[in-house]
Amino acid sequence: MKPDKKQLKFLQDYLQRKLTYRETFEEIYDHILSAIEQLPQQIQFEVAVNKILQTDFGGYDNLGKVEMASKKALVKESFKKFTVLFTAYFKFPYVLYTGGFFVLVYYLASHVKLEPMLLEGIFALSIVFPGIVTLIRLYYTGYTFLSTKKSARDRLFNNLGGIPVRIFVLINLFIFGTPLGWIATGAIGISILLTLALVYNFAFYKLYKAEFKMSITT
Amino acid sequence: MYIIIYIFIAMNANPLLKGTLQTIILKLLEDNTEMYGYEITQKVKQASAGEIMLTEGALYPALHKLEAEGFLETFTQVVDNRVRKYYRLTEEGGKEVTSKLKEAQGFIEQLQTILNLKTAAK
Repeated sequence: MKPDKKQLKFLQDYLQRKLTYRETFEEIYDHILSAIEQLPQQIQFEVAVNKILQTDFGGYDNLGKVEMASKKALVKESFKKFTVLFTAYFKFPYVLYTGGFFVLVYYLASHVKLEPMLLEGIFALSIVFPGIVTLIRLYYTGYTFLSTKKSARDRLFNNLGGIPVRIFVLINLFIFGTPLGWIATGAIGISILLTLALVYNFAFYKLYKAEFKMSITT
Repeated sequence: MYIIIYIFIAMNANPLLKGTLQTIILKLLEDNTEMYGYEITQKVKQASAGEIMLTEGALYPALHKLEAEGFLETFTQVVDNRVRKYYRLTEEGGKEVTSKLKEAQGFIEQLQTILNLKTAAK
């Protein structure tokens, strides 16, 4: 059976009423259409859809349960991916770049008199960057997938994107007491913080890019 | 090739199947390189002559769990204007297949021993 445009629209609307996230919607939508394509043209479309939902997903009402189980695993997978990307910068060969950057910052902080406001600016940019990436991700999600549907990973991205700002504000408020307090930690403190911020940004950016890996087949 | 599946056809035991779903998925992906969700359900159905059906939507959470554990990786393709997600084994997943199959075989052997003992006791 080859569904027409009206039938496809019906299926999309029908599934969208039960499925919140793009990832689960796409997979279940493709599953149902793949199954329908194997059926003879004479079968009524709506009947076929419900039969497939019953056979493969335990019925229409069970879709929410399937989605929740999938969401949990998808979030876990993304978080694991992020930790792998982050820790990779402390393992060979990336540790050489991390070490190089640390030494460079340490040299600049200890030998070149950098303006505290300049350091603050660089650091502010690096902690705001994940937040900007989170916003860009939302834009490209809609642009690439032609959908404004939520992603199961949205919350994880929001949380990971907000962590640097939260940590920075907490450290400054409760440990140093002033916005520029962290600079008083000296060259070592500055180098550690800027290196961690850079590594975090790279890992976060790579996580964002990994989501858009896609090839086109006709 | 589908040793685990065939054993469960003979047993026709869906509750037992749930516990081995991950093994079945990993084995199928070892034999077929890359597959998408519907394709997996069809292969299972085909190999078991329709005796085993992956119902209740158990397949996708299981696939995502294997992905989260690092045993599977995914890539997507746009086919007929819709997104299709393919799964394939990672290096770690390849090792896991061997370990899971050994585990399943061990379990079946133990079960057989127990059942044989019971028969002998009668």
